[in-house]
Amino acid sequence: MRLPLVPSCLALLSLVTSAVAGLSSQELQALVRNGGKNKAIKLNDDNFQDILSGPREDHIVVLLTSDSPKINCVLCKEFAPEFELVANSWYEDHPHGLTQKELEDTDRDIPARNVVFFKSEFSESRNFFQIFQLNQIPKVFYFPPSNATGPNSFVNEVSEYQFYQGDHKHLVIDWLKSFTGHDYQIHIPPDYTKIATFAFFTFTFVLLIRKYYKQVGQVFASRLLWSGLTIIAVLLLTSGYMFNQIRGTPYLREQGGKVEYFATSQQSQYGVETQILSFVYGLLSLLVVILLKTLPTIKSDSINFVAVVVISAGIFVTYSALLSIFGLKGSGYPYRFINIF
Amino acid sequence: MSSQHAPIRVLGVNVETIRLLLRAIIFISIAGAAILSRLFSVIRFESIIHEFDPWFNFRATKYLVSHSFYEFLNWFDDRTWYPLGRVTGGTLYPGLMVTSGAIWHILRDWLALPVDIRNICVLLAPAFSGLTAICTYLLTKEMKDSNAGLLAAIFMGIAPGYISRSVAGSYDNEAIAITLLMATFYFWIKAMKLGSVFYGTLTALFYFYMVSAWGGYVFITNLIPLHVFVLILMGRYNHRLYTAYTTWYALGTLASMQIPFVGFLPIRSNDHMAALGVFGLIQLVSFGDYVKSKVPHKQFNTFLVVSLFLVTVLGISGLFGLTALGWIAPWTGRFYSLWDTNYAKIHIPIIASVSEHQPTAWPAFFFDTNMLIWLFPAGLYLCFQELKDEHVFVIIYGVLCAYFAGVMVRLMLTLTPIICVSAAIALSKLLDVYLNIVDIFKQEVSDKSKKIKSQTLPIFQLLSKLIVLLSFAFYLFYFVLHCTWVTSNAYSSPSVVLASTNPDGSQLIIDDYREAYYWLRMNTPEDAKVMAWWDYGYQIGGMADRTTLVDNNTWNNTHIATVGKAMCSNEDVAYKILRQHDVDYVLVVFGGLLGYSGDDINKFLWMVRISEGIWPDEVHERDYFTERGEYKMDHEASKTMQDSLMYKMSYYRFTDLFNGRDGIDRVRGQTIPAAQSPELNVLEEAFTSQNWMIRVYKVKDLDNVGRDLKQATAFDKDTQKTTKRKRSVKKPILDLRE
Amino acid sequence: MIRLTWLFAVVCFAASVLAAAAATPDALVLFDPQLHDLLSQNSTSSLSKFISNLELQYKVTVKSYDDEDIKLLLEDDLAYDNLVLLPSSKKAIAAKQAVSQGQLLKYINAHGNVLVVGDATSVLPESTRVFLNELGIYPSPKNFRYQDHFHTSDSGKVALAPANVVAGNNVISQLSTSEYDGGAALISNNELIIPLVQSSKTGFTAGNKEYLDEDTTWTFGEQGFLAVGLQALNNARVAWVGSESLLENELVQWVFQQKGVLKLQFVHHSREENPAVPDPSIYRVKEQALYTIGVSEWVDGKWAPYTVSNPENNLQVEFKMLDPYQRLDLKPLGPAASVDGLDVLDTQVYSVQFTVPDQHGMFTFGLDYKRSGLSYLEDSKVVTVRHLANDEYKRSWDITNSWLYVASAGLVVVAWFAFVVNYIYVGKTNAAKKNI
Repeated sequence: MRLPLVPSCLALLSLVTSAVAGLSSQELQALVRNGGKNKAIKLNDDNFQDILSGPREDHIVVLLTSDSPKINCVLCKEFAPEFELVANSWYEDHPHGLTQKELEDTDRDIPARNVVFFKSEFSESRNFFQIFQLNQIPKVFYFPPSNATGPNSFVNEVSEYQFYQGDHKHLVIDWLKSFTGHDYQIHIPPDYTKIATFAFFTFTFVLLIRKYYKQVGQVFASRLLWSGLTIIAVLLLTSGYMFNQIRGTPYLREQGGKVEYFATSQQSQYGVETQILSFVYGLLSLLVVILLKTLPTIKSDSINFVAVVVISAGIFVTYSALLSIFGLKGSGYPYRFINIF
Repeated sequence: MSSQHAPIRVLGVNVETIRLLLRAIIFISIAGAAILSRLFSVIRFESIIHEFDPWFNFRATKYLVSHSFYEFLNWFDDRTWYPLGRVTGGTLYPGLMVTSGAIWHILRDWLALPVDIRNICVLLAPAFSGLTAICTYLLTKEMKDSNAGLLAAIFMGIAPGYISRSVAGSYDNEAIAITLLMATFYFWIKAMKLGSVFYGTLTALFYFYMVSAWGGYVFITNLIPLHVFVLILMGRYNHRLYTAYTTWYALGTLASMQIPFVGFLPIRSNDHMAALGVFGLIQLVSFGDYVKSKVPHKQFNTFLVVSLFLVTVLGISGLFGLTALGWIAPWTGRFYSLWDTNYAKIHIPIIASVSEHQPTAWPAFFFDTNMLIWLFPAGLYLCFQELKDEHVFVIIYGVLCAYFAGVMVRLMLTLTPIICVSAAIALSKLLDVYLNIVDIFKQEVSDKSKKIKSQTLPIFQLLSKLIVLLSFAFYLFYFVLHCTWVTSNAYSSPSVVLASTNPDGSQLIIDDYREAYYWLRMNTPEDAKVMAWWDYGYQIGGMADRTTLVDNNTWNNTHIATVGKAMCSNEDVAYKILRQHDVDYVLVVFGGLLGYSGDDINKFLWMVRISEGIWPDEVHERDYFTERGEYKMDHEASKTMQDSLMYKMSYYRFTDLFNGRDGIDRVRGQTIPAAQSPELNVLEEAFTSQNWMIRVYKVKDLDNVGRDLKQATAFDKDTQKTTKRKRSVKKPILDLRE
Repeated sequence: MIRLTWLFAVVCFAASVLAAAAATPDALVLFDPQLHDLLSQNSTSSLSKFISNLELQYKVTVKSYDDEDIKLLLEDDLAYDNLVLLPSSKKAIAAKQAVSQGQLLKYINAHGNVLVVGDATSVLPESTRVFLNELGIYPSPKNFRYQDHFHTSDSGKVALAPANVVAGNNVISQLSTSEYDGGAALISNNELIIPLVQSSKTGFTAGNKEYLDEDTTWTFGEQGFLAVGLQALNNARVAWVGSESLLENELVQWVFQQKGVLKLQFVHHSREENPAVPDPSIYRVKEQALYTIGVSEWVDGKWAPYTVSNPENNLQVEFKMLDPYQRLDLKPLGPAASVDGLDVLDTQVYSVQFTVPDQHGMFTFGLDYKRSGLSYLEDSKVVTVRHLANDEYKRSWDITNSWLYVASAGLVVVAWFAFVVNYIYVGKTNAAKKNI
């Protein structure tokens, strides 16, 4: 059922020219095949009237989303790959749309029609988003085959996917199945690059170990390495590294042109706080270690005295800074040494 | 060194005697400080059991002292989890109750002091904190010396991280578990150092006590094998290690299996497999050691490689095989959520819903340990410098617990002791260097003997020592201030009784919880069943003494989900659940009037999520949000939200308080329209506490003449109205009669 | 709670039964003097006859709807055990406060019985009609008449056949009259309603209009009922009849708690091995339990043993925790005395013995006997079923399979001991040699 090249080019042409009638099923299939690897076609302000208005032959599914960092829609980023996976899997099973035999199957409750997936990016489709007066994204809209004509006729025919908790791949499939009556399979493409890199690194790793067996052994037995690793780990962990990992906190926050480095709550923090705090803790620890390890080895009394004064002052100032930062976290904490902030 | 000289005497008393005396005085002071700083809550409020879990422990203890130990062991609790009941005797850690029961009996039978069991329970945690200080002293002494030990003891005594779980009234397993943790570790270090079967046995004994007291014993079960494993990897295997470990493992495991709740877990659960694996490994290592001493080097190498390979393959495949066959239980959910931090969020909403299981932000670390947090890495560094076997233990403990505490707030508790030990090592080293003034003069004497002319006082040396000492004395003083402030402000509220301040600054005690629980106790039949969200289960059982459907022992997710479903469904669905479970009263916590944010509406989404987990077809979280995805109670609240039993119970007659105008919910800062005031058909209001924090509703009986309750309620309302309109007789629209 | 309701019901029941036994039960008849002349002695209407019949068994008070002193309830107690409401000529009555729908419902809830008599040509007082509607009985309005052109008697009225009596209602077995002139009622899906006399397929209820449409008809075919009973959950009884001709003696006896009245004399459960200790609050899994009840029936003014005639009506007990784990027929053991020392065998004992399931929890012995026309018997007793205690399992030596393991454990101990002896004493000579 492969379409010859010329008609498909014509179809593309007609996409540009025809502004009134919606695209036919064949035209859409052609669009999909020329769309590249990702089978969810871009829907934007230029083409949405062509595709959605007027009589539609196919089931049309549209994801309205945005990758823009300005909008920072977490759910969009989580959801979009799953949606594309469903779309790609559908086309993997039906590279040329439904076969004639499937289309003429009369035993079904819902007449067999092709399904076409679209993805609409907010920055490219402001008018389209405007029509639905959306306040939040992502949305998944489903448009059934229809005979209604005229611009914006699709607005009243839409069904919306509800973002319930759970595995969205399967929820979307169930949702689509209820409209289209098709069965959907999911094909997760194997990630060859990942496998190759992994194999490569394992190979080199083993090779290197074999070659530099002695040196590796020395490194692994190195007290310096282990103590360094341990102390860095402890410094990070005690300054809320895991909190950032689990909660996915932002690095810092900009509010009205002002950069906020510290979240004003005991129960929250920004990514930068972990860095600042682990530095402060590390510095204090280092100063204490210098105080008790290095300084006693200085022979000259006067130099020793100066060093002690400097280090003690350093501890005092750093500790004051720590207390001030802690005071910023806003718990009515009454103690300060010197007010730095 | 001193044995060669004549003993030094001060004022004619042997200096060792003075040292002993001083040490005793210091210990008494430390214990005093530790205990006294935990009494804030008793002085501010009263001698009362705190929070949630302690109420269960208290109830269980009362059961123990009023029944025999045999009955306690086989206790089937028919007052909770109605109608399933709970095999309480077999599903609790009895250590805490048995400890206070034993103290009660000793005081009563031997010392003729009839103390109320409640006071023992309230004061148990402070009393044990004194013991913890002593155990920490012993442990730290093994790491460095008794100076460090004393410092660690005082740190441990007043560090807020430990106080948070051991103030008077916080009658929880952790109260004694930390003491036992320290004791077990002390004996382990001792056993490992000496290779002593005696100390190994003591380790096992305290391990057994620990197992009987707290589920956190798994930490010991994994930490000791890890220590041994690392030592073996470092090539530090010796017979002392072998003796200590095998003694502990064999005796400890057998002993721990005597606790009914633990039972066969030590040989069947993955949590315990590390200990078993290391036990096997140490046998192999010891065998290898033996072979090595008997055969030539080269042959031994081949032997080693082949056997290592075989053991690894066999071990791993065995573990996987047995897990697959179901012989070994996979990791428990709570344990698993420690490693895969998203696991709980996705799979076990109940675990994720508990605030104690949230990750820790950095202020909590500083709040709980103050200056110790930055002495901690310095201490670890010093341990690396020396790196004896016992220092390896401190390092492993420190890193592991820092990770755990970062993942879960409540594990801050296990991190605090090692922070104290490590910080004490660092600080005592510092003091060793700078407190030693004698050295300066000694040096001078030796200088003199070398006939060098300097006669001046070593002023620079003295000054530099003084600066360091004074500044650290200041830090320590501030540390005490910090600890006191934190304890008194953050960790001394019983949370059963709330304190607030009046506009004029005087203290206002909000006692709604107890008011409501005592109302239940005095006004409802003794076998009444009270449904409430599981947070309040233990308190209802303990204070109101009424049967509950679910409680804080969240062993049955489905049952909790059932309660959640009743709370988040409409009246018809909920009524069926209420009838099926013989519920007589429903209790909700409502903070809207007072501004109490820990109320049920704020927990409501967890109820929805948990019941959605069981009934994904019937309950949808999305339905409880407004169109725009907001969680709102005002006029925008979704239909499902307004129909839910929880919403109705919370806001029933709420706007009446505002004289028919719109009500204001102070927690959510939202307006509740008077026109939207909910109607209740299947429940009737039975009690509302002074500040409306607790509302109790009675479940109505079936209608006597067979109407549905909505119709019956409408009829009752109608007959109360005096004006009657004339009705023309119209043919009714009826369903077909079945 | 269920238990409480039951207790309450039993108390009410006992009170009424005691009253019945001690004094003749009383009845209040309310009527409209414009329609019936019941107060004069020489009235010969059928209703007067009905009342004089009543007076043989009951203390009857006859009052007019216009009497404003009527009191159905004294505080919360019944002023009369039974109430008969006769048709009225107008909807509004003077005693509307005393006989309001709310009062009538309270009267039922206080275990009073109500008999409402309808009529084709007159109305029921508004409150009575609302009250009946509330129960799910919708009598046809004034001037609506039940008609059936296929079954007509000689006098032109509707002829009733035995088939009109609803089968298995346990209230009316047959009709003494064969003619009917009155209204019909629609009934709702209320489960407590007991249909007594049903319209035939060809019957309908219509007004006096020439034509039939939605507004001029009330019932069609079998949806219409000529007599309807209702037994509330507290066993109070209500009946409505479309015409005074249906005031069957059987029906009146039923409404006034003289017929079809059952009583649960006692309910006990116990361990089978120890029946002397009744109602233990705790059982152990897999124990044998025994459940015994005594049921009496009110026959001719005294309690007599109640025997189940039809297997469909068997008494059943459920042992349930959320779901029934056991649902068993109770077997009759024979008559007995309900109270110790009573020499009359006034109750039938039923009992069943079963194994407590292997599941711990709070179980309910539930008896829920609801048969049309008979008093409801309800009882639930919650007991605890506990798990096996730690010393109630089989010991290892009782299990033959374990002998192998026990023996091998013993063998290891012996072998180890032998090894130690060997190592210390036998091997010592070598060590000594080496040292030299």
